Amino acid sequence: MAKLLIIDDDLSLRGVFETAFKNFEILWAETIDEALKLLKEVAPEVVIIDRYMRGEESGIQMVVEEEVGDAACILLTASRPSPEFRADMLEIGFLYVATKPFSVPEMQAMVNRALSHWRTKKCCSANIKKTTNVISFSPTSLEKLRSASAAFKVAVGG
Amino acid sequence: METTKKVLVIDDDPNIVRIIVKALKGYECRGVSSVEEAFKIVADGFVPRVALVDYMMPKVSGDEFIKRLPLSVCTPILVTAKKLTPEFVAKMMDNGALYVLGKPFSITELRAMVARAFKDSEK
Repeated sequence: MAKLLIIDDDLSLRGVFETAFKNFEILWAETIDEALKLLKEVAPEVVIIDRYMRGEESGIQMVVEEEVGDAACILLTASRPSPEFRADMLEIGFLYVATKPFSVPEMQAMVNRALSHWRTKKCCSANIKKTTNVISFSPTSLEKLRSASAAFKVAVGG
Repeated sequence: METTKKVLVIDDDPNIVRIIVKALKGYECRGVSSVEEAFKIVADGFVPRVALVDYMMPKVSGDEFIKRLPLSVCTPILVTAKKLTPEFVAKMMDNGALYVLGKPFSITELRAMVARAFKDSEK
């Protein structure tokens, strides 16, 4: 079961997450210290981080200082983010920026997509390490896309 | 050995293709106006790592294209003029889109999404 760490001092969300993410092992950290301990011990695949913890913008700082390992991170913010803010957060290392209050189906889709992205990244990283430091595009990948296109053409009758 | 960052832009509006290709300086970008053309370009050897796909296209929608993409090979970003309801965004992500970007979009945000999609594939 994949692990989802939620770093948020707002305990009222606990029930929502536990109901919405039954297919994950959910871990909860109310403080940055608790979060750092869990990140080291458990290495979750996906992390949801509240932007403001105890009034400080420490959620963002954790990612800037690369304290989250290789987990896929989602920033949770109470204010509607501008495109520039979202771009900055992606550059820092977040995969998504979500706004409170959030739609549960959208959050579920985000977390599930983050997990599949994390898994793909792990797989790519393992393949790259087998070759050299330069990204090499294996014939297998080209074949996969070609057969996808061929299968697609058959499906749409093209 | 492949070192260039290949992006495929699929949109039936040539102005959008032009804008996106211009915005993605530094990437090797190709623009096409349909899913059929996209598969042709792939068959000819241009295999993108990231695809920017318009949702509403005649004949075959961007969503149908994304559903059939092997995500380990190509990361799709859906671009759409449709209103971005949470339900729509959730459905597109479930279908495989890494991001769903509404039109009109911010160039800054577009570039950040593409960079992010490439960043993880290089680690």
